[in-house]
Amino acid sequence: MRRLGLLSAVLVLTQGCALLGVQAISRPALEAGGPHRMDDEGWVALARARIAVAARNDRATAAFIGPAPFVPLPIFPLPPSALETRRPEATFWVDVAIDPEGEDFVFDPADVRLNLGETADLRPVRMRGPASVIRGAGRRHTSALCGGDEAARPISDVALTQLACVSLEFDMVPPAPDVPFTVSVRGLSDRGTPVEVPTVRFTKGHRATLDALP
Amino acid sequence: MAHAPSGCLAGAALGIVLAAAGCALGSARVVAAPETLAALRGESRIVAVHYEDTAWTSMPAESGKRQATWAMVGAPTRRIKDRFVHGMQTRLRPDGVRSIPEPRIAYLGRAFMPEAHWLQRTFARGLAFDFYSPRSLWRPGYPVAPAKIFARLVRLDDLAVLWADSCTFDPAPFQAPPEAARDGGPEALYTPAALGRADACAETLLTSVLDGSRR
Repeated sequence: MRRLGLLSAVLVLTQGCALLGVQAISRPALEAGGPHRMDDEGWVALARARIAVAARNDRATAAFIGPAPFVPLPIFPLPPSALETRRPEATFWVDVAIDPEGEDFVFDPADVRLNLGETADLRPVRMRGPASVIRGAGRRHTSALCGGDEAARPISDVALTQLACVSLEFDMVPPAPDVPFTVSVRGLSDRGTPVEVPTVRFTKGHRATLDALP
Repeated sequence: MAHAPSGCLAGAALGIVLAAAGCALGSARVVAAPETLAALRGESRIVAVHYEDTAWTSMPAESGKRQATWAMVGAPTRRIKDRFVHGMQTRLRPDGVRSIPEPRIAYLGRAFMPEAHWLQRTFARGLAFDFYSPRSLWRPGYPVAPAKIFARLVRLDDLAVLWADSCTFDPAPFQAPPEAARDGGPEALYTPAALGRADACAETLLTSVLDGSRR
């Protein structure tokens, strides 16, 4: 028995481990039947722009670790908190990424509204950005869209001339992913003309990630 | 957004890798052809942009800490771009190049260089000069890595690179602690002598594009 345990340990140490994580997330979607479509990465095509909205309320719900001799075998459960690399936010942050065409877009985040259950029309209280948009593999473990770590500041207009991301802070504890809510992005204009953005509805979803550990 | 220290270190490590990769791979030189110079004289839409020259530090904006232990800094791209454009206006066209004051976000693509199609999406047509510098890690008490800046001239219609060159200079010694770079960018760390070497890079790049076809 001791030899078997030793052999298992050697296998794990020499061939690496696999880490499987499961997160509950708020997944964005549009109302069915509308004129707009959301692609697999969450982008909605508008006239001369694309927009994506993401909620920062991911929660790890399960984690498993195990050896990966030839195929990953993450079979031993871990506490989900083992996967949390950031401390929980005290307030709710929503990321809005905008990919404008041309130099004439302006975004006024003060017009964005969050509607959650009985709480109607919450408006953002602070913002960060414009910052870079996290793309590709960088989004494998997070729903966040905005990179950077600059300080939060009061809400103000943003001139947009490139793919960029604005984080908006709402004065509430982040909702659990199973709480549905909507985000209405108003305040976007192109050459002074308001751009209509469909309301984004968030409902519970899951994300699974499989990582190799040395 | 709260960042754990491990996230900072991971970011720093990634930055080092990107900087090293940028130095290694992004250095392809393209000599300006005579037609390029003619295009520079005749094109009505020429812009010059720089990529972010703000620095990353070990001190996240809302960490409450006052001192940073390291910074990721590159060349002062805005300053070099402005000197380059001024030289271009003096030597080639007084009003021919529009210098864009807002920094661009560098979305890196092939050869760890910023993807040029984002310039096309913003400016649509014409020619675009862009100035990019990979960041490298600096900790007080350790040597300062050479600063390198890459410059390109891109034809936005087809994203052809008409000219590309780079310039390396010594930014050492830094005159301020790492946190000074957080809001002030690399220039906050540079001594006047180092800024002079950065300005010389602008002149080197200008000479490269204007005289390259004669060499």
